[in-house]
Amino acid sequence: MRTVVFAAMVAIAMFGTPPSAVTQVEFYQEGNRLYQEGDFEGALASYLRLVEAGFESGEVYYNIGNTYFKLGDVAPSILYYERARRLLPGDADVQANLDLARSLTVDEIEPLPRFWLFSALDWWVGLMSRTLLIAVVAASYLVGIGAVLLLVLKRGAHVAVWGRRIASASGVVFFMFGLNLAVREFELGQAQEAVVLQPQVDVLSAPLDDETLTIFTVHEGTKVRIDRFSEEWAEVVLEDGRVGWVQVGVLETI
Amino acid sequence: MRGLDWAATVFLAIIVPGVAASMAAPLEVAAVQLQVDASVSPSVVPLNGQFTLEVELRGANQVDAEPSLPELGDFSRYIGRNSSTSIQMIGGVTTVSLTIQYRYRAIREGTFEIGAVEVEAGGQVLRTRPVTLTVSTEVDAAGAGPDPSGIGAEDLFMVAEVSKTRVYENEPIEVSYRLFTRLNVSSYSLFDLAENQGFWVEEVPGPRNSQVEQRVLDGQPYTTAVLRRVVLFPAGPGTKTIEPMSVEASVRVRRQTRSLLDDFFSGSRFFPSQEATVITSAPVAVEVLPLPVPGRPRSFTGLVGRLDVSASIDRSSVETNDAVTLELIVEGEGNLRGLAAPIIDFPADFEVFPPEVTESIDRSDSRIRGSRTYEYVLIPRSPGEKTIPPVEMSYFDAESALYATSASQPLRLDVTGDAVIGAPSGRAGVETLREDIRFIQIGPPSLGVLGGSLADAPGFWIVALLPLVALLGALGLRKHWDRLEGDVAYARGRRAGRLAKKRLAQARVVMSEGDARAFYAEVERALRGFLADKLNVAEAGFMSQVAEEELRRRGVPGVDTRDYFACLGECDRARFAPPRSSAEEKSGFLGRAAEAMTAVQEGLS
Repeated sequence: MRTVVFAAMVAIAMFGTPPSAVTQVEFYQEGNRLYQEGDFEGALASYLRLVEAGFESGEVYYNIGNTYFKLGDVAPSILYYERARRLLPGDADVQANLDLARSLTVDEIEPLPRFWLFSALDWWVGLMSRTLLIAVVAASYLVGIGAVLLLVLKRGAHVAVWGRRIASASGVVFFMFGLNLAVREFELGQAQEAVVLQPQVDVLSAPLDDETLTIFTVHEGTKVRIDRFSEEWAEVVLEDGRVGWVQVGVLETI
Repeated sequence: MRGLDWAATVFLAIIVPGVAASMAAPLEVAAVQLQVDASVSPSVVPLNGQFTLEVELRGANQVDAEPSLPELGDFSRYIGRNSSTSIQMIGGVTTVSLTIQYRYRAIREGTFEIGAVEVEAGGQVLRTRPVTLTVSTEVDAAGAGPDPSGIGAEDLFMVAEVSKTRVYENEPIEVSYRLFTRLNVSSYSLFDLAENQGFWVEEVPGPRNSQVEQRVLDGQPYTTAVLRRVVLFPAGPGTKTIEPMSVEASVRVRRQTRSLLDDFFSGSRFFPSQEATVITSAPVAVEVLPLPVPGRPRSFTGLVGRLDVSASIDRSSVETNDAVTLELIVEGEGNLRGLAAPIIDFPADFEVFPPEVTESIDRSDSRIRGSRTYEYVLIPRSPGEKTIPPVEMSYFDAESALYATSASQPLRLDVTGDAVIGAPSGRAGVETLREDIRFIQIGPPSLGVLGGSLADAPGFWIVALLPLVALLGALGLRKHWDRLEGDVAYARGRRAGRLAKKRLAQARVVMSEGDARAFYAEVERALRGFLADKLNVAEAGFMSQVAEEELRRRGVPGVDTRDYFACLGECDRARFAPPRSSAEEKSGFLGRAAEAMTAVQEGLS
């Protein structure tokens, strides 16, 4: 029993921020203060210092997206909202602002209908925040192991019945949410995506610098999926399934 | 004079149709060679000057359809058309012709080509040659060659009289278009009303039958009349132009005549010729000042002039759910038509219907004054002493250049009866006024190292592995317990040391009592019991030789067991002949026995 308590304490400590991040939070708070005062340039600089220091945070990305939006740069705001969405899948605020920013872009792309199972998986992956997910996985792991320990060490009809029930329930929870966490941590099945940051980009049918190969034109703020690279060219797929090649430099990966 | 003119009219009325009828027969025969020409006169016109496009058809006196004219709209404005036919008989040859004159006013500078005019006559389609027209500001009206009518610019002109040339935004400007003439103007028609862009135009009916008066201008007597009056409200600040207006006037002129006959037929004596001429007023520049921002009341909606607001309700007490009428009268001067509806803070539980607006504007004076009446129907839904707050409306007084506010009196309404619950009290969906992004996150952020994984988090491996270690430990413990329960030999072996220690402790107790026999018996029991437990044999039938054999079989080296059996033998002997050993010796023996047991245990394991 003492082991379980100790492990739980460690688990709680684990969710704390790394020690070097403590000073970084000040940049975040400074950015928030400037944003609320309407100094969007200053807020952006403050937030970006945090990112340049090698930290990532869904909240910070979201705030950067908001700041770019207020400054009138829709394309970078979409880029940062998309980044925020990777870290905070299922966050309603991120989704709402992303939708609003997307409605202001030039390209109106009708996305292909998705197979329902993928949509369901996406919903499942974005069901809860990372912290909560980690807590659920850790708790189910500890409870499950605890129940097995009880089963091993104690004898008795009650212990056997309840221990087995708790162990199997927490095993199911651990498996389901652990898979969810693994998908998110290792970015399993997540395609590499990018946002167009140039005002206008010609998409070519082959990775060659030849204007006659232009098959269509995309504008800033459009999200594309990158399928493969060929030197400084990237093969991109639009949400409506159209495929073409662009220079890597015009894209910013999410 | 009058009598003679009349006589001539009668004469011609009788004679001319007869002559025309007698000529109709040869006319049809002669209509073989059709010819059409177009000309423009003058070919160089000043800007805003008048020019005539003349289409002459020879060989016929009528057209099958109205000639189709080229598009002239981009540089000229159409005024009107006349047509005339003529019959000439020269040497027995009758020539008929039809002349159609289209009058235009040039509105843009440049040289323009007037394309072909298509004329359908006598079943043929004829086209004229294109002609060229130059519109230039270089030539002034006087220098544009002799006016076909022979009317000088000083004889007939029009002036736009403006009440003010420096006004505030939305301040009324009165413009009177006044005609000055020294000629006999028989009629006039306004054909080009100025399109005053940037102004709100309010037409003011002129005085009945344009009061004609005599004025002396530059020593010359003129007959003058106001043809049109408008009030303009400038819509925004800046320098604005009041566009010119054109009037076509018919003037009776008397030409210089060459002969009496000419004089007779041209009709100067009997039929003064009617000449149509177009006169245009000059544009007037107006400077419009913006309304001052400091001191602008919140209830100001843009009216420049004067306002007076009054409000009344048709009764002072009402039952809930009964209608009351609020009448709000706004009287004043200025652009009342452009007045925004007042904003009234009705009590929240009043149902308010959109007002019925009636308007009466008095334009008879140069100032536009009038009133607007707003009739609101109100239905109070809950009882109580209700107050309709004063309605404020502000205006800008251009003369004093100050803002002023007029407010109505607050109105009291006593509402009796029961509150109406569930009445449609103006419920409506929440309206989205503007779309904006949601606010930033201000809570503590979950910061992570870029590209870091969960495994980098402190404590991750402890949480992940410690329970597993605990589980392994528990499994080992379980296995041990199970063996203790199921395997007697294992249980006895595990128990042996503990029991032996207990018996040795017992021996130490006995030793202090001084009974040597009992002491050795206790040590022997401890030694025997220990090995019996370890080898899982009955203690009762314990034989040293058997035990020694068994230990050798289990591979315990003789070195380890020798001391043990030595101790056992000593105990055996002491039971029958206890040595008189001291307490130290006994204690030392106890230690030896314990060491011997440890040695055996090590050898067994």
